[in-house]
Amino acid sequence: MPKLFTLLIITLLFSIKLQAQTIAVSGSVADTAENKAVQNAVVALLYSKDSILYKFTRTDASGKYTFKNLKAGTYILMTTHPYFGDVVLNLDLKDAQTEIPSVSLTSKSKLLSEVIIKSGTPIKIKGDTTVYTADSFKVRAGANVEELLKKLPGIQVDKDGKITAMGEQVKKVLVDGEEFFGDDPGIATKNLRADIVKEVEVFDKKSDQAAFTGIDDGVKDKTINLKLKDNAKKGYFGKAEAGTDFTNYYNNSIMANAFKGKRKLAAYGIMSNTGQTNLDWQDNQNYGGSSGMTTEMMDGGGIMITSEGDGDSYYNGQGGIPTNWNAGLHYSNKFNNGKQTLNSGYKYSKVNSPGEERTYTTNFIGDSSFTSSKISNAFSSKVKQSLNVSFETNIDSANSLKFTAKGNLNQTKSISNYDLESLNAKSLLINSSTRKTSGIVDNSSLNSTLLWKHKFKKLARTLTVNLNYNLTNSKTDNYLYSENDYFTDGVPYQNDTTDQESIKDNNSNSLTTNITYTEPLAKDFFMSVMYAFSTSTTVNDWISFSKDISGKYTTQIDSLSNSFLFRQNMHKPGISFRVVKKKYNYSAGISVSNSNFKQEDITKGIIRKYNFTNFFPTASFYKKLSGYGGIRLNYNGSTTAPTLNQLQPITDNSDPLYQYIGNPDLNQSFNHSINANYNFYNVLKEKGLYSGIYGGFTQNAFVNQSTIDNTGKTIYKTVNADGNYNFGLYSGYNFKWKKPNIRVSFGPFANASRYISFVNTQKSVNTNTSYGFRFDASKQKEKKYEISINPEISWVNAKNSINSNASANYWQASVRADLEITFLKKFRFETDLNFRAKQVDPRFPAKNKFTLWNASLKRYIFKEELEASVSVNDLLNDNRGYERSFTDYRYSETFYKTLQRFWMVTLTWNFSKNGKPTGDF
Amino acid sequence: MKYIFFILLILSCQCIQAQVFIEKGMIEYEVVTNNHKAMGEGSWADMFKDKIAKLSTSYYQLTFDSDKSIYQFNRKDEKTKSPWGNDGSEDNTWYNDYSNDKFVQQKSVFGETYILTDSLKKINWKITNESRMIAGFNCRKAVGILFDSVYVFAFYTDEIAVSGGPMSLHGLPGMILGITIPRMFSSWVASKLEINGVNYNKIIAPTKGKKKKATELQETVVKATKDWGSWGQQAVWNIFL
Repeated sequence: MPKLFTLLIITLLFSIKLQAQTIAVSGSVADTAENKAVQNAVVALLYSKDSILYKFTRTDASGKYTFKNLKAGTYILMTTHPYFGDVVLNLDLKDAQTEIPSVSLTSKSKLLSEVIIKSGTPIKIKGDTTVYTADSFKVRAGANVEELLKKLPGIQVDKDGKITAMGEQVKKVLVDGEEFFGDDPGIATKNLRADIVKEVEVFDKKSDQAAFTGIDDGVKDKTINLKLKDNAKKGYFGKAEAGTDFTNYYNNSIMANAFKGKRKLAAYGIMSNTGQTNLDWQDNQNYGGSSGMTTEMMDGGGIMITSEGDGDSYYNGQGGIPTNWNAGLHYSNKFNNGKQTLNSGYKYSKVNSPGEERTYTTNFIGDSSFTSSKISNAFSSKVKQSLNVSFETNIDSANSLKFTAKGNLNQTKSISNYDLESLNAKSLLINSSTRKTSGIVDNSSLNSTLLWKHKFKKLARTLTVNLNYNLTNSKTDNYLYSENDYFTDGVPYQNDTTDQESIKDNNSNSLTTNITYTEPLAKDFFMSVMYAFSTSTTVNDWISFSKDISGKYTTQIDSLSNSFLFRQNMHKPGISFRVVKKKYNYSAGISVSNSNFKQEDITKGIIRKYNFTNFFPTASFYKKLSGYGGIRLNYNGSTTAPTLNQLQPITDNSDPLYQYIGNPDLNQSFNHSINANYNFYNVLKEKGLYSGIYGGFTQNAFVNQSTIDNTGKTIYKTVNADGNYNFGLYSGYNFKWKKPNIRVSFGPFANASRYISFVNTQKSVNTNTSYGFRFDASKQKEKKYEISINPEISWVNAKNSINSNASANYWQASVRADLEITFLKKFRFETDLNFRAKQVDPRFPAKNKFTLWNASLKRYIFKEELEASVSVNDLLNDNRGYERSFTDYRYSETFYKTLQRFWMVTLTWNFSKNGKPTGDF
Repeated sequence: MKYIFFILLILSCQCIQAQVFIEKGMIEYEVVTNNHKAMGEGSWADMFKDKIAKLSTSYYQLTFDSDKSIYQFNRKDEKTKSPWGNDGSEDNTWYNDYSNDKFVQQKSVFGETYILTDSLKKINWKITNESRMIAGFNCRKAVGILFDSVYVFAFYTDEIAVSGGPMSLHGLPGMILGITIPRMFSSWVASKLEINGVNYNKIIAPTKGKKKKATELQETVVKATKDWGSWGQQAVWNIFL
């Protein structure tokens, strides 16, 4: 095309008039080859200093154009037309009479300047790419990439950091083919150190490069790509913390994460007797590998994050004051451009817990009652080891496979001493017992899952197959020595002694398969067909021995020995439909399960087989409201099979005054649950409201049936009963009180539940209702302070049908307050206060108002590398381990040892190179 | 006969000359967003990246007639849709009146529909002498800055004699056929131009929604999202572009 118009000459005729402060310019454009006026050519005025467009116009049929109201200045006059080459002229528009600028026909762009390639310099030309080997150009130690570029022949860097390569301005600096923060090439060159660069590549940005970064922004950008040395993406971060009060308490830990590219290697160790029994949430992300987390894309949009705890223990203030040692190792890597991901980890923990506890219980049976007191001293040492591996591979765009395996090995050793005494209503002794137990429990388990996902060519047609295999073994070896005396109105009439060893060996395995196929029946209408199959077998061998004459436990006690098998096979086909519209969606489905159960009392040779057919309807509805809000309704039904321990017809006499006996006649239970919620949030007004109701009732629920004789000895088992329910509601309104910038939220909550139990053939109906109100106010200024206060009050009504003395009516209240201030840049003060109180009840004379107040002062040394802090836990020394409760036909209060006032000095060293830990979510 | 032929010849010549410069039609833009980059770095983002399509593609249409245009969502590639769901932005409509220098937009702002009016934002375009072909048109590159700091790379052609573009971008000596905004991790590139069978009646200002001046609402949104970090910035850019 341009060849047809070889000669393009545009004649510009200027007439410039000065009108007040503004100037008018007019001219015309012509094709001099044919001497014809050119219509529709763009004539644009750019500021000459930065090429910014000032004004533009198009030529009319006679090739003429006019600019009015121009300001004086120097401009570039650019004339373009699709069929002609561009003409660019400098125009100096002065206040006074401006001279008609001379017409220059030279093309503006004279782009290619010479590239001087000295012989012997390590420069390679690969196609249209020039490659410089960075190490061959000497720069001073610690120099940045900009200094390196200045040394490279053919590349110039001016004082503003503007880079020119082969005469053209460099528009882009990539780092390993990826864009480095934003648009300014200087960001990368000024911030990266020269010694981490392996090669500097210069090329015109090509389309494959555009495809690689995914963002197409022009094909002809002169581009520099910095290829980093492999070890440049190497670094580490971590922290070492030592805390002590120089007498009793210590809290020491060390954590580190070393990374190289996608590879991560992290390790940690903790030693503490202040309740830090594990990594906290944030440290777990950085050093623990957060192995239990999985993310899933939802069909209807959105992301589901599931986090399964791996049974790690966290200190809740109960069970004495633990001393713990933890260690962990985590390795993860990605291969083949992230197509394969490997995650693996090992964890070790040992927790020693000495515990002291006193419990006082009042029981009601019919019209009578008795009171028990139990004092226990225990020590347990628990060692846990776990190993997990997960491997995920995206075979191709249609198939992905994920394998996870997790193994656990736990051992718990424990020793306990109990002293128990019960008095009747006349305060006369009815029983007393002392008991010593010691034992070892060894648990091992293996859980593995294989998940295959297949996407068909047709959109939304998918197939998912999930296989799960689970193997567990538990061995218990327990010694029990107990002396029990029974009284009638304070007069002894009977006593017995138990001296036995019981050995339990519990093995179970299960295999579960889930297959789901989803078919889009229409654009917004989906059908899923599911099939699940599972088989599980549990065998429990329980043998008890009494002591023989030689002092060894060799004589089997037949009444306390039993071998039992429980097997469940289930087939569960199902179908569901889902409609997804813009403003609402709903789904409904049903599954039918056929479960075959087999119980075999191997000792007695009794086999019981039975089966259940259950229907599992599900339904859900969601409506989007205008603004950020919606209404959601859900229903689903589920069954629970009894556990082997509930079934095995054997007496567990490990507490001779409170014995459990298995019930082989138990049926499975069925639970219906329903919930509905509403939420709304207005982003601009910064206020929102949420409310919801939830509820469920259970058919054939598992409940306790107790038989209590007049010495207070209790034998209980699990039976089925109807009538259990649980309903509740919650609501909250939140807003920002704009002027003082305080966030406020408050709302009511209520709950009603009922559960059934049986005592000496009498039905005990327990109805609990509670309702209350919570309030929360907080204010924060980033990096300055954060303050919040959260009071809550509720009224509780616990009602028992057997005896009104087991009922209660009281209020309880709590206040939590938090304050964090950073001051003088280097100091940080943190304090939190937790107050809780319950209404005084003559049945519980103990103190029931507690204030737990903690505070710490921290100073940063060397920026944030080193931190020194002094902290005090429970400043008022007011914390007590105390609980009171109303359950069934009894009420009780418990006192236990817990952490009280102590102070601690802590030194923390945060170390890092090329990396830093990720913060809060 | 000869006479008629002569006239035809002249007419056709004039037609060619006139048709080179398009003043009305419909342009379809392919809008690509890099979801992975938008998520940023960090262990949370890494966790999602495997599950989300790297690039989301959708198609928008700009119908223009000399000095007016309307820009609307048309369809998206379901396979690459982002998991965040449709927040109502697919109903957004941009109506531009270039000669009177004003716009009327129907915008979904955090789930609520607004009708925003204001004068068209003046963009300081820096003209370069780079060029590339888009949809068969030779386009020149220009660089502008929006929201004080967000770079916009635009490619315009002077063969389409309307100074418009996707959304409310305008002010170049021709139609913008390609845009890249690196900090929004998105690009808009024209995939086709239709001249015949275009419904020009739809170029009317939208009316459904709460009426508000754009700059006023922008102030409110900036205030409400100032604690959100980079998410808040992205939200402001997405709403007011």
